[in-house]
Amino acid sequence: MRAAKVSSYGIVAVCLAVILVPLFVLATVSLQNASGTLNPLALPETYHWSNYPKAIEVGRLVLYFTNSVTVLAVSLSATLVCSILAGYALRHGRAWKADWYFSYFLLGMILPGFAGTIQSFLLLRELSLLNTHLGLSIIQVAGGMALPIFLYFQFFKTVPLEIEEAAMIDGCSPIRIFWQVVVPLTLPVTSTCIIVIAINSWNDFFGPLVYLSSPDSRTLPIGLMFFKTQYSANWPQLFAASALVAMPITLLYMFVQRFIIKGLVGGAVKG
Amino acid sequence: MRILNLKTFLLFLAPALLLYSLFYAGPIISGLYYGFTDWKGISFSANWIGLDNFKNVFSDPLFATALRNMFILAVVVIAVQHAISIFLAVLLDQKLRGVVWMRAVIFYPAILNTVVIGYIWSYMYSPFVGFLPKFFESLGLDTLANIDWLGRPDTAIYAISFVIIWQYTGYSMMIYMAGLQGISSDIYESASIDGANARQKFFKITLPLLVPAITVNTVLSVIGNMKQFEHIWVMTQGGPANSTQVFGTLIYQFAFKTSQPGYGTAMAILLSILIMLVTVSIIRVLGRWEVKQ
Repeated sequence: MRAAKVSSYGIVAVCLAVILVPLFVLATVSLQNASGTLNPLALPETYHWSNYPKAIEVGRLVLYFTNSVTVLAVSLSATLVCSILAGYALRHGRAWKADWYFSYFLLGMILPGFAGTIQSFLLLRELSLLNTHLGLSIIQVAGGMALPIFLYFQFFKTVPLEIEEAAMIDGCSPIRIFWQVVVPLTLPVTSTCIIVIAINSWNDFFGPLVYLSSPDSRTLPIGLMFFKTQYSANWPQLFAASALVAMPITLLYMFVQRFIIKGLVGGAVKG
Repeated sequence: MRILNLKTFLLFLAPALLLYSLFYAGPIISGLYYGFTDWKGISFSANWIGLDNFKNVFSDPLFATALRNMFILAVVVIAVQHAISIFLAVLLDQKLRGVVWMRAVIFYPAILNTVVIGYIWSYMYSPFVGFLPKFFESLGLDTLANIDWLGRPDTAIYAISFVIIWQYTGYSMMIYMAGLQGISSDIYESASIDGANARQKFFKITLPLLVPAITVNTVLSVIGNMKQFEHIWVMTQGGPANSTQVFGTLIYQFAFKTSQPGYGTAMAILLSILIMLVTVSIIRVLGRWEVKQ
């Protein structure tokens, strides 16, 4: 038993090192002198904290951060509203072929989104929504609602019908039952959905790459990608920018990691 | 008793149905038409050319490359990633000191942005200045130190595969841990009484009872890896010499770089069919192995 525990620690230590070394390299290179020789194997000799403010300025990170937050806010709230309503309709819509709609929505988890990219691109152009955050948000909502709908549907199936029937007998309208009786019960699913949707939107790369071509509308991931094409040899500054881009989600993860892991894994397992 | 009437049913369904149909399903389904046309992607109009796109796809060497790379990503990556993550899940399911912290660190790359990860690893691999050359040099392994991992057609796809494994092993590990927690400890206790050793317990109890988790996990990674675009786009853009092209990068390039979206759409149709076939077969095959507790 002792030997087994020691070897467990050994194997886990190797895995931890493989995960942590690249992150250490990111940190240490981001603090090294941009014009000197880089040493990824050790801490910097002098700490060049100035790489960070420079990265913010050169990479226009404040603007891109605001853009990312805007897209996230719109797409998160719209996805939640759409999927909670649809999940509820599907739960109570057996009389109107709800299971057909359900399979139709589930296609969204399997089909490759890029199969319809140009069509969506042209559609957004027709609607003058190209290069707008609203346009990207709409695409994210449409492409990301399958899993939340599924999660809400599964959840509503576990709510005993008697609760809603009792409210109905008391004379509640369907909309009031939904809003005052059912929605308050959804907090656990909603928190899972929030995490999945928010992380997908925040890390979305393909969407903004295609639908946001003007430099001013870029979100953080795309802004970061163009950082390299413009300043390719400057690893320390690029890494300072990368560390800053990774910062918000990392801080959040440090405080509520259990919650985030549970949300992402729970969303996947039930899906 | 009906909670919703037809009017409220439609009212509740409408926002999701409209957005989903207009901006997701509709565009993809219309690809079923555009795949048979010489569409230029400038407007919605196009000329019907029958099966020409598909005939060209099958004789396109890039299609063969994309298939080969998809195979590497979907089979090799998943075999390695899942072997490691099942193993880690079992290890970190024990009561070790600091185990919550260790799990959290191993999971962490899964929430990082692909661009950040792409940059970190581009640097790790980059010749002369990067981490790996310096690391191998300091160990005296000069032959390894001189390899340009992302710059050589024969190593690039494997270098990228490693990054994908690095990012998602923790994620699959967590799904396996959720599966492990569903296995009742009674089974292990009675096995111990019958004299089973740790290895027998793993192969005769843990693994068979993990099959549902393996199914979920494999389907997730297979679909994800068959749709792969981001990691490759950030690190190599399909190069060097097209050696890391996958369907995602090819379709993107045909659509936005070379103005052959009709052709790209034909490829996307083939990819969608492949994904659905593979998903269904995985669920079928693994479903047969499932045992009841």
